[in-house]
Amino acid sequence: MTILEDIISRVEELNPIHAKKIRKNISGQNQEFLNKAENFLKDYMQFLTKHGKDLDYAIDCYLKLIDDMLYETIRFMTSKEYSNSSFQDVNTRIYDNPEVMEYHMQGLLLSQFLWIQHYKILEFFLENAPKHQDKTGNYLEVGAGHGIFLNSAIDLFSKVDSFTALDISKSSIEIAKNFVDSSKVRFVHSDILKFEEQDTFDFITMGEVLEHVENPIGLLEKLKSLLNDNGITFITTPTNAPAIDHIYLFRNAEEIREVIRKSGFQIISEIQVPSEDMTAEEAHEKGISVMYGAFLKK
Amino acid sequence: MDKAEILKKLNDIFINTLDNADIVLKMETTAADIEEWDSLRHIMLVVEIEKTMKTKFTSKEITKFKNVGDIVNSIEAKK
Amino acid sequence: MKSFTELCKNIGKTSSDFSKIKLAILGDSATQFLGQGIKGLGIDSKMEFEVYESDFGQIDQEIFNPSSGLFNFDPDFVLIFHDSNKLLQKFMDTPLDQRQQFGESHIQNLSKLYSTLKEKLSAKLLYFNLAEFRDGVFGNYSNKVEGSFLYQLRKINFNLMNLSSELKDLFIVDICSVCNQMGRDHFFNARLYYQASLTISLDGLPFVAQQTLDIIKALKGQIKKCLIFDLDNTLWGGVIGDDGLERIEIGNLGSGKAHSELQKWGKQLKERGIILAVCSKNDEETAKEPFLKHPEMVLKLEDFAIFVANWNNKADNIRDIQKVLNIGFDSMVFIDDNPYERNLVKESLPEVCVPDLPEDPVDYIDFLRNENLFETSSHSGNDQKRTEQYRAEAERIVYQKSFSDPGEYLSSLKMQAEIREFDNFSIPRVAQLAERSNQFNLRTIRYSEAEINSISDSQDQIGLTISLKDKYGEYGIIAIIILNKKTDHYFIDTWIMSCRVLKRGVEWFILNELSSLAKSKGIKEIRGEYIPTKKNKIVKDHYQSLGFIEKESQWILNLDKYQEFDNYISKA
Repeated sequence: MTILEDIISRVEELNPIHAKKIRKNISGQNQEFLNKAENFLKDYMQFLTKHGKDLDYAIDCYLKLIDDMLYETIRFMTSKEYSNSSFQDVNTRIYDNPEVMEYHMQGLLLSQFLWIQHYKILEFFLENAPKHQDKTGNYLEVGAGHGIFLNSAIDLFSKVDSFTALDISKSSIEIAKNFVDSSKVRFVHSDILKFEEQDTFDFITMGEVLEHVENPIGLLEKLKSLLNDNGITFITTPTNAPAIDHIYLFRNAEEIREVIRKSGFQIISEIQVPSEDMTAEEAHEKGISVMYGAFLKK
Repeated sequence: MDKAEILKKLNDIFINTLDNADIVLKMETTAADIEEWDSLRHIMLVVEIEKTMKTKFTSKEITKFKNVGDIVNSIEAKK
Repeated sequence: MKSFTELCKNIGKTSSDFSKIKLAILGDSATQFLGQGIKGLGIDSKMEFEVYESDFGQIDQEIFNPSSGLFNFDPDFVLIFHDSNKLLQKFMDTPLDQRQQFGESHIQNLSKLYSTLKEKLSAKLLYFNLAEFRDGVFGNYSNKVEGSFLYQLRKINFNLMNLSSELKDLFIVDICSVCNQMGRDHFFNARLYYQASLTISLDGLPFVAQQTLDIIKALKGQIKKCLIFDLDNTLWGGVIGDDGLERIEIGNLGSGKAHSELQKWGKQLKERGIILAVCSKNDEETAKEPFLKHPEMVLKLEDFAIFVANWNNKADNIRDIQKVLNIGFDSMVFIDDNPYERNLVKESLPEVCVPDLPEDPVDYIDFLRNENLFETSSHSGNDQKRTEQYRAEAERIVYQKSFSDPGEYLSSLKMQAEIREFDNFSIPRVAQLAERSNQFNLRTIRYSEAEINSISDSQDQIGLTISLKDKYGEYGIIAIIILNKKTDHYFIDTWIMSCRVLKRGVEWFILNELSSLAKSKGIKEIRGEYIPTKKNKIVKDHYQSLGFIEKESQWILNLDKYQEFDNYISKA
């Protein structure tokens, strides 16, 4: 039995409704996906063992994340707004709380291959990022989280010898340090808005951060100031995705584009991945989450 | 409101939300018994139940829903 | 007012915090420009309209066909526009002997449209009344001939008012007044009418859209509740501190009549339930002098809930007024002749409505009347008491500052509360609180008036209202409780309180009452629940602070061990 199948059958026992969705997600995927997932999960298992944890622990974390999302989504369906509006509040309750952060990040790790939108976005990044590797000498990731994009970037950008990984959560950095095995990476524990650097960066990745702040335009403007004039940035953010730590609600892709434009970026290429089996338009109409990803330049 | 009444009302909600007129709910019914009852529909079901039954569930209640009986009991405890 | 072209440029500039509104427009002339005007104008009020338009001339078909696009669309508002030019065509096709009943049958038809709509939709119906014009058949003599067009047209306009006072969800958009204000020559453009079937000129459209939007906003609860006046050169001409009592212009002196007229308008608004306040840069004593001594002042000190005259900046003073009244900044209007003061307030408090008064005082009143600042969606006798309530609140705040011990202060208020089951008198207010309360609301379950009605008849539920008064005046109903009766306990389905009475110990009083009610029925436990929302964090610890014990996700109070809370409220 593959690890993936093992995970699904364990989820099935604990949360059969959710298992239905994962099965549906996986069923349309090709062998390449399955291989990638398996390799990733093998690494993840090793990582767990190294830290005295097992797969049941990881699944437990993941299902807690799913429970949180379920409740937030039900509230969202009636209120049509996210339950959080204050960054300060989320920061104290979640980013600064190692216990919550640990299960949250572990949960997100598994979601990387169980949620189609996460996987498709990573694929999009892997396909398009190499176009910019010649011009890239240094690399910054904002909100490095569990470090999956960072790992891919280390593989892709062979010329880069200095990677910087920034995260507002100490716990998140501890997890990423375990997961990213590279001497090239400098980890910085800081709020991006307070992060100052002498040099600008050639490439900045910021995955799923915009929805965590009160003022996404301000955040993008800050990003712009850290990017060199010919630099490229890759961002992702979801629409209609209620979660315990999401603040800024984008109702559709156009609202994201507007924020991008207002902060003075231009879109080079973009992708939309609905979280359910439907088109992006349909998802938008029904208020269902769509993951948005885009490469931007100044 | 007693459990039988609640179950009957839930049955109507399930039929409408899942678009399947053949559904006959029992206390033991789970998502495994009804094909259409997936995670997206589950959310719609809970939203619809709250609206129709004039109640609200806490996060603890919602995450403990394993079968129809759990939902009925949660409603019955308050109504 | 923005031009139609500017409004069109607005369309699409939405953002995620805009409220979404579904509007269906049914007309007997081309309505797509109207739809665009409303959409564009909505943006400036943070509203995103989704508009459904029928083909023109399909009003009856859309409404009488239950599977029409209109019903599929399930709008929040339906706008019906019968145009008076089209009406004239219909009138001319009516046989001479039936023309005297023309207006009557038009109204009957509308009433039928309304009842058919309401069978299937909860939407509110907006209806344009008729822009008046003469058909040149009888001349002025029309006024004597019941079978003339103008006679029937005006009859319809008059009877529309009667009909809308009968039908709760019918609201008249008074485009006839818009047409009068602009003049028919500007409101109607013959070329557009004959070539494009457009019955309102492009210049007229933004104003019509504005009236429509005003009604929708009022129905959405966005209403102005408070009018703040500056004094010098606003309520009177001249500067009281420099010119003195005899030389300020009010009544017959100088441009006094214009200022008197402004005061009369303020008085009318106050009688309608708008709270008046003063915010002026003056010494308080000097500022009050005209109100006490000038014989021609229309407004008196007792007309104002709050009187602020000092040398602080006006934005700060308005913040203080807001604190006392405890209403949103977006429900306040500030009137000041001085552009500097206006800009300061606009910049520091962007939500406050600050009309740009014309320079010449003689233009003030006509300008303000046409701004339609005080659109409303309801009117009750209670509204007139509002100023007294807020005056009382202002006095309480001043009075409270003279006590160092909060207990001493509370007992000196001599509060009395009355607890009653829901009844016909209280149900509308209960429904209002249940629909609108966000903050002090433990579970935020929304009930309509009909649902509240059925609770009052139910054997399984108890609905209670708590009203409060103290030595300064009456608050009216300030809390509602809905209990679900279980065999061995009461479950608190709803606990809502008005934020005006926080920190008065009302919750202690209520819990004492609930416990004796439960005990008298042999019930040993009361259970409650807190369901968090974005806005109800202030009651997160409500049950804990009242001594409930958390079990599973509920809060439980064992009545055998319950010790009544001391409080400062006596039972009326």
